[in-house]
Amino acid sequence: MSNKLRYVEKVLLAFVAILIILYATLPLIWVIICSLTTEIDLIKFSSNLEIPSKLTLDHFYTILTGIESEYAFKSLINSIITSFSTTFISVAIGSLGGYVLARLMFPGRRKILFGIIVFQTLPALVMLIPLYIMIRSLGLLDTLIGVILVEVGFNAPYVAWLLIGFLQGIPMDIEDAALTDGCNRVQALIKVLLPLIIPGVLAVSIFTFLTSWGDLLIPLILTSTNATTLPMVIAQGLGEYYARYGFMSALSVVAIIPPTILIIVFQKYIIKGLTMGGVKG
Amino acid sequence: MPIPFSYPFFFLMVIFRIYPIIYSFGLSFLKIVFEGGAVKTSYVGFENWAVLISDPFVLKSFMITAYFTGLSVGIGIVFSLGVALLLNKDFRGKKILSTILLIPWAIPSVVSGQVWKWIFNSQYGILNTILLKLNIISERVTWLFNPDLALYCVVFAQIWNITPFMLILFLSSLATVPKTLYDAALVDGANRWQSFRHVTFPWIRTTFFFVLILEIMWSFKSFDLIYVLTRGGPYDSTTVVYLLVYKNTFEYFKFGIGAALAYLLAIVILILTWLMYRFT
Repeated sequence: MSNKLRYVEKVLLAFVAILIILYATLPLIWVIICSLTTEIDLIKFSSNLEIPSKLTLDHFYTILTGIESEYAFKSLINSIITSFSTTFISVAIGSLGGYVLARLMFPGRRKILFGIIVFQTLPALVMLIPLYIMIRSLGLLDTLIGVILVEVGFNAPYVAWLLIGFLQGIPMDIEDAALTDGCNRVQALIKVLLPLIIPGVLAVSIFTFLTSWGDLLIPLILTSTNATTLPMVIAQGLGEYYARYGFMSALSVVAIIPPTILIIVFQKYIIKGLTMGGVKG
Repeated sequence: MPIPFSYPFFFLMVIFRIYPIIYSFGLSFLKIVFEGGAVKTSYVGFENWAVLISDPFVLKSFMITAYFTGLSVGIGIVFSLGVALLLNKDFRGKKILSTILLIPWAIPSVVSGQVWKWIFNSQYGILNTILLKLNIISERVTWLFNPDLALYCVVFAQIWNITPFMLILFLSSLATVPKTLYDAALVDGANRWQSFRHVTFPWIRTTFFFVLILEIMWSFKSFDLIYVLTRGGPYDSTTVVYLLVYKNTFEYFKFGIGAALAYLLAIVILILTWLMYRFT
């Protein structure tokens, strides 16, 4: 191939790559710009392309101090509490379940594995309708405990499912050696297996966090005023603040920050997790 | 059952999966009334199912769902595979590219909904402003409030949501195709299309169908984006089945009908998934 052709190909490649990056990021850049302008400047910019004269962090200040909307601030805190608790509890419970399902042979094991896949395919609302009634009768509507319980119920099987795939890639001999050396199962698990599955556990934790951080359906159904989460505020607006796009954009930016940090820090594990079949639904 | 430390897991499976699924099926034959803290139920037989079958809107809602799914997954998968083929070379910054592509995948879909809603805003939205300045339109278009346009706006936003994920999977799958196969195809005198048809595609087939099935399954269950953008309106033109389940149950408090419809959707999804796995 001649050099000239190769040059053309390179330019074309760069062009496509840049277009794709713009396609993926322009809406996000736009929301970041919106979050940094005053409401009046924003309307002028968006409706008439008048470039704002100054940028401001006012919206973020308003959110983080909760002075204008206590509701938004409370929901942000609730979101942090729910998604961290959900991740921690789901990964703890789910990985133990996954371990048992991947490593021990017992009657009904295959049926349980099949059941987990089928449940994962079903629309969550099939289960959420009865769970609403259950949570209601327990008096846990509009409480963080109610939300976390149901989130864990949905995420733990998913954690188990992902880890089963990961564990099957690790030869059983490793634990058997530890077991014959006189370790009991728990010791073998902690000392021998755990260091090997840390990348998998990390990927699964990130997926669980992303799922519960962005989840709308569960809090939408189970909460109304006290245990609301950030996605709910973003989805429903703030009533009288509804027309305040700068403020809403700032809330969106706040919701984007944790996933973005996770991606930048743990990119390697996430890509690995994606290829092992782990996908946020 | 083995080892006590796994009991919490099996307990969760029973309480949050098996029990609700059975309960849901039962609910579809009941009428539920809430009176304060108490739940009053009465048996109504197949009445809820009869309502679903006789209501023409249920069928229409399934059609909207199919249309939404077909358009967004169809365009999305062709687009992302095409771009992945163009980008399937070793170049500097490929890693950075995939990191950037992960961001739209990872952010909550309510956020992208909110962003697109503001972009599509008819009065102040940047889309109308740019189109006006470029003289493409002469007056502001009511994108999300026009029954003929709303669904296409939702599809557009959905495509934006799903393509980066597909693109990443296609890129990593394409990177595994051995170069020698292309050389062999070249020697045999294959043109670009032939080498795609006979070399590339068979190699990435598994990934392709995995992505396709997954996206179709997800689209049938998509809720967040549509809830934020249109709430199913205008004139129910974007009311997909999943949203209809939600509305029946938690807005009109018809739990029996909601449960029956949710079950119907679940059955459709299961059959569809099974068929797709069988024929691919």
